[in-house]
Amino acid sequence: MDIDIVLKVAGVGLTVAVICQILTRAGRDEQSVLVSITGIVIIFLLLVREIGELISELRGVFGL
Amino acid sequence: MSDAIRTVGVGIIAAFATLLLREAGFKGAKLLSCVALITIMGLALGLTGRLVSLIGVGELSESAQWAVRLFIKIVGVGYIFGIGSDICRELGENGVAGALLAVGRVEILLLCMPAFREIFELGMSYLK
Repeated sequence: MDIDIVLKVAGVGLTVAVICQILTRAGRDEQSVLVSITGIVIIFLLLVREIGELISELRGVFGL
Repeated sequence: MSDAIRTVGVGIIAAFATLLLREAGFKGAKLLSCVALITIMGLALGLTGRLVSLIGVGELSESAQWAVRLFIKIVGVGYIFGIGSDICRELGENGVAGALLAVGRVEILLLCMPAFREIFELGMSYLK
């Protein structure tokens, strides 16, 4: 298990938060929502990949 | 020892980063908690794998091997459903988490059925 994933997700989250703040203050609320949703989708894809790897490891350890 | 320190470090960094993201106004901050949960479970799985290999299933008799393998499978199924339930609870879906736990219990009961049948048949044979 790679611990870099936690830092990657934190980095993506911070970037999205900053961009959303900038867009909101510039009056572009719809784009801010789109960027927020995109960030969540990216993180979710990373999460699904990690879950898949964990399940594979579990099957190997417990012989399921 | 380094594994323990790494695991604690991941937990602390993830908790701090989640707090930071929440303050920055990112709505997906809870997803970071889920990623941290999975990373820590993955690190713990390495320890569990070492524990399972220490049991030394190959050195036991056939019936003992069957029982120990069943026990290990039950622990694995419990692990999987527990992780799934924790992720759902972390994302705020307590209903789904509860449903997963219920299905996990049924799955474990199904795995135990051959053992129950063996015990029942053994008991019946002693009664006859």
